Amino acid sequence: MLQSDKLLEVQNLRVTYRFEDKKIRAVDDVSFSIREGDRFAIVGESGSGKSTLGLSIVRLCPGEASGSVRLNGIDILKLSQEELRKLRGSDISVVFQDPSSALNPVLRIGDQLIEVFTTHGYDKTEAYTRSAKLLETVGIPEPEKRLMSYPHQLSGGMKQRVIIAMAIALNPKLVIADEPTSALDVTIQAQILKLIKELSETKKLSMILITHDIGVAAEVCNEIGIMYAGRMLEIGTFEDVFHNPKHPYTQSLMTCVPKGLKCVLKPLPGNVPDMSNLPSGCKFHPRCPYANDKCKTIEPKLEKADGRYVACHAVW
Amino acid sequence: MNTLARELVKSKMVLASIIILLSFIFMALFADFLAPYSPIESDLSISNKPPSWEHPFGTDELGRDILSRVIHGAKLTLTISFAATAIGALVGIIVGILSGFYGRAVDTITQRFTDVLLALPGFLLAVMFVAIMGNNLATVIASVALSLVPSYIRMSRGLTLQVKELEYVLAAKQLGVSNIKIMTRHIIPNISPTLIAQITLNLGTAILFASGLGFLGIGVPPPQPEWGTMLGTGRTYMFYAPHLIIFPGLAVFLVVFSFNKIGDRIGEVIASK
Amino acid sequence: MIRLIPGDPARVLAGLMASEEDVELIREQLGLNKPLYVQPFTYMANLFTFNLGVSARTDSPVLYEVMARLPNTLALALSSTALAVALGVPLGVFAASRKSSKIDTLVSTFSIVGISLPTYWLGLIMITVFAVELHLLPAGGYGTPAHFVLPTITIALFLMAFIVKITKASVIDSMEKEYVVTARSKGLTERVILYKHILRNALIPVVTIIGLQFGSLLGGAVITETIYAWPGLGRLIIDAINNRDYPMVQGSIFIFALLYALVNLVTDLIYTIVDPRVRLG
Repeated sequence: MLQSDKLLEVQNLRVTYRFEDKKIRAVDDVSFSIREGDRFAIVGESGSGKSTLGLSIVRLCPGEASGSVRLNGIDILKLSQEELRKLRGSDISVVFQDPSSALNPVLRIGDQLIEVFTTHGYDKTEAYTRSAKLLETVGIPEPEKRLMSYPHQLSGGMKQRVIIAMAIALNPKLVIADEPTSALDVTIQAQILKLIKELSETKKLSMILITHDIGVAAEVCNEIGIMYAGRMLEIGTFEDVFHNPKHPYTQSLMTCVPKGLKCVLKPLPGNVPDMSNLPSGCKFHPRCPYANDKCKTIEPKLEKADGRYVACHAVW
Repeated sequence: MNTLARELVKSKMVLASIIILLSFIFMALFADFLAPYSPIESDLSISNKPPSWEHPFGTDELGRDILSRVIHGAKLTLTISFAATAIGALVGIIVGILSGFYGRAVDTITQRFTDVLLALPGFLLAVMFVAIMGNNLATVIASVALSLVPSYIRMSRGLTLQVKELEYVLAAKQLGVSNIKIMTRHIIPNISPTLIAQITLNLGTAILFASGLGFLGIGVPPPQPEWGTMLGTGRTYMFYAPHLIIFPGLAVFLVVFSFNKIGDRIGEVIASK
Repeated sequence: MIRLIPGDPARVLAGLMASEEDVELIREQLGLNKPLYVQPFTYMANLFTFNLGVSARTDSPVLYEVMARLPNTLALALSSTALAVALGVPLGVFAASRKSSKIDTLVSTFSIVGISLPTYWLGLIMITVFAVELHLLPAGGYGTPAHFVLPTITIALFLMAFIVKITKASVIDSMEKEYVVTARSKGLTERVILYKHILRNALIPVVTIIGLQFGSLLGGAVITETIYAWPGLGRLIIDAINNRDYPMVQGSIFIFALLYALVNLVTDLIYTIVDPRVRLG
């Protein structure tokens, strides 16, 4: 097997949802890659397809996916169900948005944490000791007692710590965090974000962080991809994209400069596009201040410019 | 409503159910023209005759034509079903809405009243009612209605409690819109879809209850051709004249099945929205 | 209220040939000569001591007769609930896991047929087929396990159809929950996801419904017990109504209501066991 320095390589990924007679392409021709140790932020408004993209990497999305998603050269989209099952939770794990609905309400925290180990071959006693230790790692006091608790007996922040514990349990090669803080109270958000940042540094986690909040991405990530209407519009290092955005859409996002963790968004003219009825050409052109005739007809491709990739006719 | 109708017709089984129901309603409306014989007059010389060309469903223990009795029975059964469900639903929904909307004392009183009704299983409540009040068409309707009331109270009360807290209802209240208007304009339209599914299902339950009473001999009294009553009396002769029980029972099953199938589908369509 | 049933119980008890004095004597024994408005209060006071009076027809204590019949009713209710749960829950889960397939449609249709079949009709037909034509099973009565078969199936079919419907809906509902995606993301097998994560949640409402249905099943006993000449409480009530035996009607209804309340209480208790969220109140 060819050993590249790329941990994850996504190529021409398309995800289509079917509703009776309608088809919606939530992710369209997306390509990007992550090296080991990268923390890649996927930033976009709600409905931009960023969660679909994130979950499709481990095929947790009900939509049909085409293209390729290679982890260390192995195409996840081609794995058998059993191979996929073995990969999930051990090689790639997920942190979900709302810890209240992501945890099973009728099972003890212990049951839900221990099964991550047991399903991947650990025996029960070892799974138990490791689970208790893990709760301590994510900052949950009295771990042995908490293992016996039910989710409703924990606060939202504690529940999210449990979800994070599950995600890092088997030292995965990649963690996909889907809006890990947006369902939480503001003060708790900061704590969870701090935990994620610490863990990603101490454990050298590679991570995809999906968020609508540039401030959150700024805390954790070194790479960033900007999504709009199912497409990647700009991909580069966080430094470049953040301080010197090229795509007009990225520029409009960056004008909402973070104040601490708060981010005041400057409203764009027009609306988030209707995914079942997308405009022709560049999907952003109806809202773009620089749009020209070419933008209305020909969809721009991601091209290298100034140290990052941008999909825009108007930048040069 | 139009889309609901279209959704209903999509399924063949639901369409079949609608056709079955319409034909029974047709039978009920034109029973006098459709029935070949009188449902009441007896002729003992031809009692318990198996199905033949003259009497396609055979004759009963008093020589009456069973086909004619089943046709006329549709009138009784559907009357009971619609009347009992309408009364039960109307009373239950009004009480439930008032109870949910006003709360406090009104709620406490209606809740205790519901508890009393719920002290016995529904069918047994109906049995006790006719046992006390005597059995005739009116008391059978009333008893079935009574047994349906508590579920409507519970349901519409619960739904009202939810709708009451919706922002625009609260806003309407702040603006000084009268309670009656809030209930008729906001609460009833909001809770009616769920109730419609329930009502359709209960039309079937009402028939099962009413003819169950008839079967026990405490329903609509003979010589009325109520299907359950026919089954109850036919039971004595069923060992050598099974046609006495086959046809009335089949009629009950078909109508109840149709109501259930349609009600089920309505529920599904509403839930998917 | 039951005193309003037309017909004089004292006369029924005394029989057709009794003299007016005999009737009067019986009336006095039963307390029927007291003013109508006093009777309910004396009766209620007696209820607290489980003194349900004596049957107006057989002269034996009501409580004794009711208690003699109660186990028969319970036995039938339990056997049919057991059968309905044993078949209905797996069938509902199966239909849910093959949603929209031919099997699912078949199971759903069967379930609507089951809840639409009038028990009394089904009972009569089963008697005709299995007892009269095939001579396989007794047509009615009580005593041997064979006597249980037809009444149990008759009752169970309705309940099972209902359980199938509820189970299917509940499982489908749980399948769409986010914790299922979480479970999948951990790399659990679909088997574990279904049995551990989905079913634990989906069966909570099913347990409640079974409890409530067990209650109405007791109400349906009046019909099944009549069809199969089953010596239970339901039959006792119908006979008592037809005989205008008010003490018996009142007594058995009282016990019935107690039993019903008990069943509902047990259902609530079970609910707190299966759902950890209500355990601590």
